[in-house]
This record gives sequence, structure tokens and C-alpha cells, in this order.
Amino acid sequence: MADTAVASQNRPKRRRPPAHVWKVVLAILFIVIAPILAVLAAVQALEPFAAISGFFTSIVAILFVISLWDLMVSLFGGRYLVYGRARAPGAWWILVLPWCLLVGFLFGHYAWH
Amino acid sequence: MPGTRGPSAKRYGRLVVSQIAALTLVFTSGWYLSRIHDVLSRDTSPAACVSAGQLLTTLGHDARLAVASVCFFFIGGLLAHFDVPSAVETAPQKTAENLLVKHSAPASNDMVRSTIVVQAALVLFLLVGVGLLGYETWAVNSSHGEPPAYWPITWYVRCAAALDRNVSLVIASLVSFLVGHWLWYRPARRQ
Repeated sequence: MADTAVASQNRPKRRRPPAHVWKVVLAILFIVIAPILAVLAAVQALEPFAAISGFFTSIVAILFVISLWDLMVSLFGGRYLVYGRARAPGAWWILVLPWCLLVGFLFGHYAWH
Repeated sequence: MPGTRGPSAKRYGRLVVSQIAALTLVFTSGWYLSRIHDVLSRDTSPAACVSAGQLLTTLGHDARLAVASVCFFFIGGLLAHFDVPSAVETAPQKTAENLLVKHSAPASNDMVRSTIVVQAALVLFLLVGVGLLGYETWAVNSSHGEPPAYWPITWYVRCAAALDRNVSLVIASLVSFLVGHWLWYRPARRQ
């Protein structure tokens, strides 16, 4: 009985995610990554469509890092980044929007390019 | 048995439609890949699959693909909304999430384990997405103004589109339908 109580105390706690994560993600995407890619495309260091593709790669890469972090928290404990808030009202469009942009880009790319 | 209900007719209908769409997509994509392989393995490749410039000439500006894709994206999403799971049906999943997020869930909990499996599948899916998009970015950038050493994925798609417009229209519609169906956020119905 005492062992069970000690084990319960020693088990790593999983804490709720902070609310501001999506704002940080959007800030990184639109204030840091997008301008860098735009400048690279403007000076022709990067093909314009490669810049657009790179932007979507960044979105999916950030989602990958976040989901990997949350998976590690589920396994070993710690503070979640978005898990548990991903379903919160108001957050759904952040999940859907990148995919809409990606699908629009891909189909627009081969339909009009 | 009174009081218990199996999956509704709506759910069966939704599952059947999405499974048929997925299977049709797999078969038509396989057929396309074999055709592209045939075309590229021949010495006299048609102009449609030789270079980006010729691809553009062959394809032109076809708004049908884009319009059909957008329409089927929304149709897929609406079909998902047609059969939203009830709060009772999603209760086990919510319980597992609460165990994970709020408490230190016991490792032997099956619901928690299945939730972690879904999380791991998402990580894998995103990893594959990053890999494919990274390749696409690199290939698009490296082939700028030069004969392509490695084709971007979108060039294969355009090659396929040039081979047969109508089948391309069907495939684009199916992909959009499935993306809209599976990725559209659906909150559970309140009871």
C-alpha cells in the first residue's frame, strides 16, 4: 500500500498546456519564416514556388514538432504544448486552416502554374 | 437488445462512401503510376512529360480541376457533419484524454494506450508530410530553369493530368473529398 502511494507520487505529472502556444506558432510563421522566404524569393536565391512550398513545409514541420513533444509528454510526463487544447472552441480553425492552404496550394500549383 | 443501438444507417452510408472513394483513389493512382512509368521508360516520350515548359503548354489553364477540388473538399466536410458522433460515443475518448492531461494515468489503461497510439500515428503522418514537402521544395528549387534531375511531386501530378484530363478530374475530386472528410473538425453532438 505504501509502495503504491510512493509510486503514485513519483509518477511524472502531466500538466495542461499553456493557452498562448498557437499565437507563438503563428508569430513564428508570419513574422519570422514568411518574410525570410519572401526576401529569398525576391533576390532570386529561391524559386518562388519553392518559397511557397517551403512555407508549407514549415507549417507541417512545426505541427510535427508540437505533436512529437506532446507524444513524449504522454509517455514520460511534463507540460503539453497543445494536446487537450486542440479541441477547444476557437482552436479548430488553426488545425484546419494549414490543411486548407496546403490543399489549395497543391491544386492551384498544378492547375494554374 | 432494448436501449442499445448499433451504428446508424447514416454512419454505414458515410463509411461506405468514404471507403469506395479511398479504394477508387488507390486503383486509379496505381493505374496512373503505371502509365507514367510506361511513358517515361519509352525513348520517345510525349511532350507532355518532357519538361516543365512543355507541360505548361499541354496543360494550359484549366480551372475545372481547382473548382472541382474545392467543391469536393466542402462536400467531404459536409458528409462528415452529416454523421457527427454523439457525446456518449466520444465519452471514452474524452475520459482517456482527461486521464492523460489532468492526471497521471496508469500505464495499463487501454483507453489511454489507444489514445497514445493515435498520437503516435499523427506524429508519423506529419513526419511523412514534412519529408514529402521538403523533397518538393528542394526539387522545385533545384529544377528552376534547368532540365530536372529529380522531379518535384507536382510534376508527376501534372504529367498524369496531361495524360488524361478526365481521370485527373476524378482523382483530384476524390483526394479533396477525402481530405475534407477526414480533416474537417467535428465537435461531438450534445445530448
